[in-house]
Amino acid sequence: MWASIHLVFRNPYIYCGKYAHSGITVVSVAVSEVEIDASNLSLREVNAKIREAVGRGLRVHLKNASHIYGLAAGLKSGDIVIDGDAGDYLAMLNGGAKITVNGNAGDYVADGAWSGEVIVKGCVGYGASMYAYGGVLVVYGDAGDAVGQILKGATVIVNGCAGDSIGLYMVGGDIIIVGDAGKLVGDWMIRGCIYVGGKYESLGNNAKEAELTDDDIKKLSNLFNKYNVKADPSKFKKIVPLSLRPFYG
Amino acid sequence: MSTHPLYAKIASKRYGETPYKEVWEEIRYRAETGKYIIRGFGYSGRLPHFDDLLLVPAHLAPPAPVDTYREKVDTSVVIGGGMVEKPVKLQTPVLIAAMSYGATSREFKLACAKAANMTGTATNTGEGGMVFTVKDNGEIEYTEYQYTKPNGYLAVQFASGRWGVSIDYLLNSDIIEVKYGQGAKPGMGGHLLGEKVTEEIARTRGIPVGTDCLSPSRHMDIRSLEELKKVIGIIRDVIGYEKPVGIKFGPGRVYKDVYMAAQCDIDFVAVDGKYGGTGASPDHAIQNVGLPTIAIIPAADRALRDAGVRDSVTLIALGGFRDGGDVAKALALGADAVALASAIEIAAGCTLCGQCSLGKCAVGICTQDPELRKRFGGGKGIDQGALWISNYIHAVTKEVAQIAAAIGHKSIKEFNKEDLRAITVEAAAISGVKLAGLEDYVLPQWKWF
Repeated sequence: MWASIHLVFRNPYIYCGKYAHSGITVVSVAVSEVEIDASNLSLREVNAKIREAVGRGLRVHLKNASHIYGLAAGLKSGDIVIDGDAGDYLAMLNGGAKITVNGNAGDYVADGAWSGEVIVKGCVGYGASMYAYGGVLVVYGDAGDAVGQILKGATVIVNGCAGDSIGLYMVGGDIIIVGDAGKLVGDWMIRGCIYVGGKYESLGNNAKEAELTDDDIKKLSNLFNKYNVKADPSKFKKIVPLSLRPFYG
Repeated sequence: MSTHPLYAKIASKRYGETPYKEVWEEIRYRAETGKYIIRGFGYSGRLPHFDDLLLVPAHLAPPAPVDTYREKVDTSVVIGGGMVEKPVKLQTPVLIAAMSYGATSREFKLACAKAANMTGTATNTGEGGMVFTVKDNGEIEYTEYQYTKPNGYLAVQFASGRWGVSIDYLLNSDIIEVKYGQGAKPGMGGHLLGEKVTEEIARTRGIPVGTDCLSPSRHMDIRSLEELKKVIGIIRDVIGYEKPVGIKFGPGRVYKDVYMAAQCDIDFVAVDGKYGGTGASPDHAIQNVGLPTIAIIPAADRALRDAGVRDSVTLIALGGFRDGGDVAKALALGADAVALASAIEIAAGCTLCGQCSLGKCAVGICTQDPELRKRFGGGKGIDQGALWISNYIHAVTKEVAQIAAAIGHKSIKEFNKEDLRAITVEAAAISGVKLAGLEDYVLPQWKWF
């Protein structure tokens, strides 16, 4: 299987030989990074190669993968860098991998993630970080509608603007929009916080603005410093649930 | 003017015969509270059901009956035999249906898992995540999965709320079921009230204690058939293409739903009928939304045939099964297996009080109260509950085998519609079973299928 992929050995280092059994011709020098060209590969083929490389402790550099949906799904660890765009459902069910996209990502990035870090240098489509329990999604461009719907506990940062219905039914976590947001912000939210740095068109049902606390500003500052986001935390609007029991109350 | 002494009695009696008499309390409840009624269990009343169908035994005309005392009837069922590396091989067509942890207790869920092991069948997590245990060293032990081993199987649900759905949840399973609906409240999603979200349930579902758990009426990240195909492809990918993946529907547009599902590279489809139970659903949905089980099984079977996948996709029917007769009739209507929930709860001690949503179940099934949970299994706990459930499944399986034998089948796979006759015109019309006595279809359209 490994004979079919394009390997680029980067940063060679002396290696103890523990993983030298799997087909790559490595004896005393291992590689720290493997490059995969996904041009003619299927979801199954690409993810199998990613998992094998991650299992062997290699960093993965991926290119030509925009046609693949479900890329890097269900990884529990690893460091994946994607050059160019990624398709829908990137990093679905992420369980701990760090995934960086040097381009745009499609719909449902980091869907159902539990931990790890997904960094998208460009824009993302509909439904970023839906259902996500944990981990961080950082989008340096804009995001479409439905960011963080039914968010359970993850942190989502959109450095640009976001569309409508962000945080619908969310029960935990933080959604941070540095730019503007659309209609129905926090519609029927049950728990969690939404922070908007710019304007928003309307609040959703069961959502209200609340005063920023010192803890909020500290939390935002730490995140902005860590992810190199240029924004003043004290200028953000904080949106929280109006009632903690909006249904059958 | 004085009234005749009989007038009040006559008026009351006449008026009492109107449909309002039966629902007087319900109307007053709504009037006094402004709320709709939430309750447990399924449809209350009379719909065309398995009692309207009877099975036809064999005598002189072949096939001859099978002698169940010395000839074995094969009751096994395989799910995923066509595509996956680890197909599920059940010893019985009777599965334990999805009932969520949260709506029901840890003891009940583990009793179901243990009973699955004792009977060689599958149980189902439901949509609330899996019962697990945090060990002293901090490791997670997937207790519900382990209780099904070595002979049983655990299906895990991938529902619209995604409660507790993680990569480890999918990996520690044998079957993945993408839930679209259920019999009691099709098209309505679900809602676990915050009162039942204790510390343990909150940990399982990954949310704060006391938070209402809302499962939307549709998957927020699946908005088209193409997206469903993608999600099923991703599920298959993350579990290594090893385990069966299927879809569960409530009793809606069953033919269309199943036909579309058949385009998604699935191993099974489950359809839940109108007598399907619930832990807590709006009464107006239970009573009015959805179709009878005997109508949806033939529709699902026909959809799989029309889609050309009948041999590779297992059809599981749910909704109102009580005994081996009901199961045999479902298999004859076209199902390959059935899944039971209400009957399993009754086997485990449920008294049918219908107040499941309150979380104060007196027999330790639908509650998270530590004191009430001690009452599970008649106070004897998980082992007793598992014994009752496994006894029940064993008995029902024997009943199915005896009925198959009486009809002349050496395997439950041989059941077919000719084994059935309807005793009401309505049942014959909606199920496509020939009417007893007439020995023909009551609607000519059924001849075309």
